[in-house]
Amino acid sequence: MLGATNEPNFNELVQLHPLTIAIPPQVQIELRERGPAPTCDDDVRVATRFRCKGPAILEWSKSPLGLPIQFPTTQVVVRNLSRTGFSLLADRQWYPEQIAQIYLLTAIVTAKVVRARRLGSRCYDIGFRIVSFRKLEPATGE
Amino acid sequence: MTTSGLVTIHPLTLVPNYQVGTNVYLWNEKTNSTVKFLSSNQVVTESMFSFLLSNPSQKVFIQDTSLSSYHDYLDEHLPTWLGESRVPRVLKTAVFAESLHGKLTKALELQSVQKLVECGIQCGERFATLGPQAHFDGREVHRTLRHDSSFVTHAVNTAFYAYLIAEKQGHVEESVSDICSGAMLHDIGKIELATIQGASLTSSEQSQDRAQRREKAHPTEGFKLLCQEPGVTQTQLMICYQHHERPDGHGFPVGLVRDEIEVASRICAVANRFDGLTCQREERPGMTRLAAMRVLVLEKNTALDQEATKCLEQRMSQTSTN
Repeated sequence: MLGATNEPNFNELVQLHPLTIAIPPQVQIELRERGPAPTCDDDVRVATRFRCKGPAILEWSKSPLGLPIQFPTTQVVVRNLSRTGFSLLADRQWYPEQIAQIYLLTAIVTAKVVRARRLGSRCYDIGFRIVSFRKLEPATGE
Repeated sequence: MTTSGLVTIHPLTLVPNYQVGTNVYLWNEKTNSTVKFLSSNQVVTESMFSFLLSNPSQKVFIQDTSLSSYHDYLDEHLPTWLGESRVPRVLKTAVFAESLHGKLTKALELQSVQKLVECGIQCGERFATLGPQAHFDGREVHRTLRHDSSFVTHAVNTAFYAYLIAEKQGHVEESVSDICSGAMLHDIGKIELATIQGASLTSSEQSQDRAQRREKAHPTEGFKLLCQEPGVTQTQLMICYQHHERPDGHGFPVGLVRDEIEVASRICAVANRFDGLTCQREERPGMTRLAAMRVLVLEKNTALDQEATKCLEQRMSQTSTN
């Protein structure tokens, strides 16, 4: 669907994939904040992450051996990002080494899962490392 | 001949009608020396086995250089040996454990994740196929296993306890195999910390901070190693990834709660905890079986799965008949 010639624009994609994440109240408060994001105690980062809330569409493209999963395309919420990685809120758990295409308003990012943390029922914080990045033309939104 | 360069083996591991493949010596009390009992190319006869059976205190030796081939011999004939009704069950348990210990040690020496995974899978299959005929008893298993804190011992012990729980829960053979192999490989993410000659998992040379970070990272590191290997099942992957998750959500790496944690992972978490408490560490002696079980009972429903803990508790408190 996302690779089709007459693919919908970003806003249409977001409309097509309703948000199914149950974001806990404390995380909702945090999502309204801006500035550098604190590091998790077990998370080694190479670049500062900045809080940045926004919708994204996530399409899974690869999973490790022995871990057969379905690849539903879902709406996720960007929580923070840096030049090397970012974290998203998703409604389910994903596993390290899984690779996804993430469609943002201005870019398409291919990224690998490095960690997942449960924040609540139907709310997981998924940390990604960026594999490749393609900026979209702002005029068309591709 | 003196006992220099010789190691003792249990006399009843000499199975009738098979070649041990190494010279076997007996201790002669009268001459205070060893005498050759069996040549490497000789088959153990029924009369030899009967003699050993009637003299259980008879000391039996092989050359220390032959230990590896003796382990191969045990491994090869384990199925026959476990079916031998004249051999005490406690000895079957010990030899089964030693056989797994030998296999995993050899696989570690090869320094190949692939070989280690293959070994873990084979060991899991052994539990599933041979375990039922060995009729393991929880108390005997605990008494018989080694209790050092080496990587290999911990892997074997965790698999043993996981087997006892899985068997009690009535899992089918395939599932038991997956659970036991997953338990054998659950700490593969600590592979860099483990050395072949029984290094402690908590080396004092490591800074505490670094050790803690590694401890937190090892389920994910193990998952990343295992998921590259063909033949690894989802159950084995999840055991490695989730064996530090807790029903109350305070575990790691994800912080899953109750049923979100796979059944096999919950079993392995209990087995892992029990061996962690009963093994000897540099900083403290190992707990007794009963003391460790008391801790587990206190932790059920918070840190550990209630049902799996209950099953281990039952296996550790009842004596089954052979």
